Amino acid sequence: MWPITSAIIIIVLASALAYVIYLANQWSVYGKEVNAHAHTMGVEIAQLESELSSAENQLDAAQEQLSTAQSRITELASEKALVGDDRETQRLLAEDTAAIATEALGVSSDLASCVTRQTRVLNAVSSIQSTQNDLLTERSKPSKDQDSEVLAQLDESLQEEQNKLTKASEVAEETCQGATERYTTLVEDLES
Amino acid sequence: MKFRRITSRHIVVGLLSLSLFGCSTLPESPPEVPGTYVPTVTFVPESEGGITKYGFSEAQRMTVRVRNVGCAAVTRGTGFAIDSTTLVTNKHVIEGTNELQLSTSDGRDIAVTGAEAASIADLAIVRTTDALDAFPVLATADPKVDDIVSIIGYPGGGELTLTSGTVLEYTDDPLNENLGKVAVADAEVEPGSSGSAVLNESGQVVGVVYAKSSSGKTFFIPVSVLRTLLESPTDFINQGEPTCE
Repeated sequence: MWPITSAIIIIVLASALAYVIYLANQWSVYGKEVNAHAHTMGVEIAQLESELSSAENQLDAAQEQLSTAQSRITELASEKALVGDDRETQRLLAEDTAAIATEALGVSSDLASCVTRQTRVLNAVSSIQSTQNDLLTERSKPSKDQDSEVLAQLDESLQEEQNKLTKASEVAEETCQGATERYTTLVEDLES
Repeated sequence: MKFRRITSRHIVVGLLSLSLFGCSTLPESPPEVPGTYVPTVTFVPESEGGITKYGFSEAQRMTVRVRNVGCAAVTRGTGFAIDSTTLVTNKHVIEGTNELQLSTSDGRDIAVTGAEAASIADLAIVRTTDALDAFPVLATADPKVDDIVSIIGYPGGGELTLTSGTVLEYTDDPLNENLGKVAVADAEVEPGSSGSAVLNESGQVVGVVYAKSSSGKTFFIPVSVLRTLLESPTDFINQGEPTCE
């Protein structure tokens, strides 16, 4: 029986050994492939970590730039708004100044009219004085030398000139009063 | 003691048993090597924290600087969008205006089509042609005393500024311009902050700033008043142009 038993033992052991060798080979191949994958992934991870680090640095820089840009935009927006305020204030001021200048021009014109009217009054007064002088000269002559026609003309002229003076005085007073009131209003507006 | 003789049968049986046991303890054949070990991950972005276009927050983008060009002077205030073409501010910010000029925190000018003032509160709405690109949610309830609030506006007509504080109390309007109670907070404001939105911790509008006391307290109109007025548009009266002398 021993030879048969030995043969069976050898066959069983040989089969077991063959199976174990087969398994070992399979696992060895598997291990190599996994190792290759692990190496590839390791390289990829290293590459990605490097890229991530670089991207994080770039992101930090971009965030810093964004923050700076945002602050600057806000500052510029504020400056722009304040410049706009000044512009509108200056525009109002310019409009006010133009209105004041226009009013001052009107006051000046009214005062010029006042002066013109006063000049006319002076002229009328001067004319009356001249006529009165002529009348006095004529009346100072002896009665026989007096020309009644000339006297009548001078009296009539004097009357007309006095009427003109009255009218000119009224117009001058009205004009000057208006000019004075307009001037006073302008001064009050400027002071308020 | 009795010994039995080991026979070849015993050996074969033992060997077969050992083989079976040994085979059962051996590992199985390795599986196929997968094509990739990298799992599929769905990217879930983190909360943006309210930061949007060009890095400006919603609160910054909804807040508008108001310039009121009147007959004799230029005054400034704040407003905030409630939809793409409507913003809320104070009545006193738009009073006596010849022209309203709006600008955003990033310097854009917004064209105005008209303004309407509320009859029973220091509130006004301004309509725009250009779209306002962010607007907040109006809270459904007024803030409670001790709630934390933030105010975003243009104090002094300067840069857009955010200040924080707490609601101190509700009181009668010292200026008698608003019906009902108004809220008082200790968040800092300045002239130019009028019309600023008062925000709760969720960023919802809970009020509109309209006054400041000499002791530095801020008065604001609670959101419930704003909501009531917005629901009845007839309470807003169109502002005609004043006659400048």
